[in-house]
Amino acid sequence: MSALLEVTGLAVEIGQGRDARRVVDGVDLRVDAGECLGVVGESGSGKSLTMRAVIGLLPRSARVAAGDLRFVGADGELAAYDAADLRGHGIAMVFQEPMTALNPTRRVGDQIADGVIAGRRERSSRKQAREIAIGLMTEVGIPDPATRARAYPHELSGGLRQRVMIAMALSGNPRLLICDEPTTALDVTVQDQILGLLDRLRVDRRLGLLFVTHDLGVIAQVSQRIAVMYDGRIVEHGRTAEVLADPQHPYTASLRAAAAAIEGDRSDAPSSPAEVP
Amino acid sequence: MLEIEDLHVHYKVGRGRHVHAVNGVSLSLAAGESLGVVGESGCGKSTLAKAVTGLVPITSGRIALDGVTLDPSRDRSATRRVQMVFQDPTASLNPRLRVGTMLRELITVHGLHEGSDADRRAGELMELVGLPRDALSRRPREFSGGQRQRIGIARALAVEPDVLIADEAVSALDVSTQAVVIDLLDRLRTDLGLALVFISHDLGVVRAVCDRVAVMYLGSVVEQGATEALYADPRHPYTRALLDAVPRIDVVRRPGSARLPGEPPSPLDPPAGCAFHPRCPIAVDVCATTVPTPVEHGGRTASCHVAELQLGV
Repeated sequence: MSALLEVTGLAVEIGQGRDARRVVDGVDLRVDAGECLGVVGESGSGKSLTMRAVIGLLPRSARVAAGDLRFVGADGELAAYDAADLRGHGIAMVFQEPMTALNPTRRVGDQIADGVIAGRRERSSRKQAREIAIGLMTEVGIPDPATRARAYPHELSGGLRQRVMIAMALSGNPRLLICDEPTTALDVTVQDQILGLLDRLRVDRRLGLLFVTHDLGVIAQVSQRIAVMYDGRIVEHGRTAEVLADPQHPYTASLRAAAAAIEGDRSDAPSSPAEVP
Repeated sequence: MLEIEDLHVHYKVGRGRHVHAVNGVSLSLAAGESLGVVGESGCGKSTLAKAVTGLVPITSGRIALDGVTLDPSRDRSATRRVQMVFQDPTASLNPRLRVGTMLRELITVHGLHEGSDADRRAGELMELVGLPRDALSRRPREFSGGQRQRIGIARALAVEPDVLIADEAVSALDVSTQAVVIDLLDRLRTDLGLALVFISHDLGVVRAVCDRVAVMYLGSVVEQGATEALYADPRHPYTRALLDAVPRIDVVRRPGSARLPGEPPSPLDPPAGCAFHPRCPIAVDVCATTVPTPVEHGGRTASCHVAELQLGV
């Protein structure tokens, strides 16, 4: 397996000087080409900040305080990277809420074409970019892409919007896709279709996926390995099937019990695990 | 206790066009019982909730509480008896009002208690939902998501309702917080004898909360019955497809393998016959022409021609 991304000892701090608080600490991650790493944890566990550190989109109040972030280069070797330089064609991101992540005033085909123009090294004309955009829309399973390219985000259903967002993320031909709760806002039926699409892209394009979610059921379907975050640290890490079958860390066990109780019958109802501090 | 009979809610959209958001729904609910309403976005489940709480006017049909017909969009005592817990507690709580001020205002406007009695009642409500009394002097932003949803529940309970309608009330919460809020709703239902209508797109949560479940598709209930029976042996192909699509920890399958193609059709232009037939894996000719009628069998009611044939009734 060839590693795409390797993170060692990542720490993220919020605030300045004496008020600085370490919200992510000592995080190690590795994603290979064609592999999906699931990152689970509750709100406030630091999973989103970790992803944002990887893609260089930390909020202004936060900064990387320690650690190495390395991404695969053209020579196949891992090297430190400048996120601004890689964003789009090396690492791209699919956000949770397509309605807020898409521009409501522009046609979706144009928005994808913008990504094509921004992401490609070689110059492409607007017309070529539009054609590539329609090709991407076909690849992500949007029916009748030429017509849909002229639609505005509000004219599309939630599932189609999320497909547009994935097409946009693919527009720079990235090698790693960070998916931050990409199906949380969707119905189960549409969620299943989108998960199927991401899984197909992973195999067809040998994409690496960093898949963030709080839903263990989703993780079980899409990921090969899993990293469980709690209070800014990775508390458990391993092959998905093994971690879910036999969680070692008490937090993973409680997450699993909560999910199982909701899935199964109510006789083994949850014993109210505490909220994240 | 709560009875809904042949309820229709139509929205007018443009010239002479109507969306049949709720199209002939009949449901009933006893005190202390919980009924889950599930379905995809746009199936009319939220409109149903709004109609019952009087937030949208009903087009036709009947809503009755303890046998008395009520018009929730006109009648204040009716709105008091049916209360709603909303999905997003951050958006549905006034950020500028302290929790205590909000609760006291509700209690006095509805003429339930005055002065120091209202204060005492507000304190009781905090206890009821498991928050400290000093929460009354704080504003919504000082609480976590789960705590805010407790405040949302306290607000609904402030006017002493008989029916609580929870519209995606735990969807925005983390799994462990969901479990805590679900425990709370369950306890309130038993202790206060509340009837609970629990609307959710999350079939797992509904299973954990509800005695009975109604599955909605395009404005109509396609199947309803006791939760465990319905989950163990869904009779309507739509129920089956929905259940198949739920990602589970213990059943690993390839994502995208649940065979429910496409998305629900527009309620502006519903298909003829059975509304589900264009997506249905087992549809036969009659499904495209004739609307199926609900058939009761084994404590469950399903509207499906094929299921009817299989039962041989």
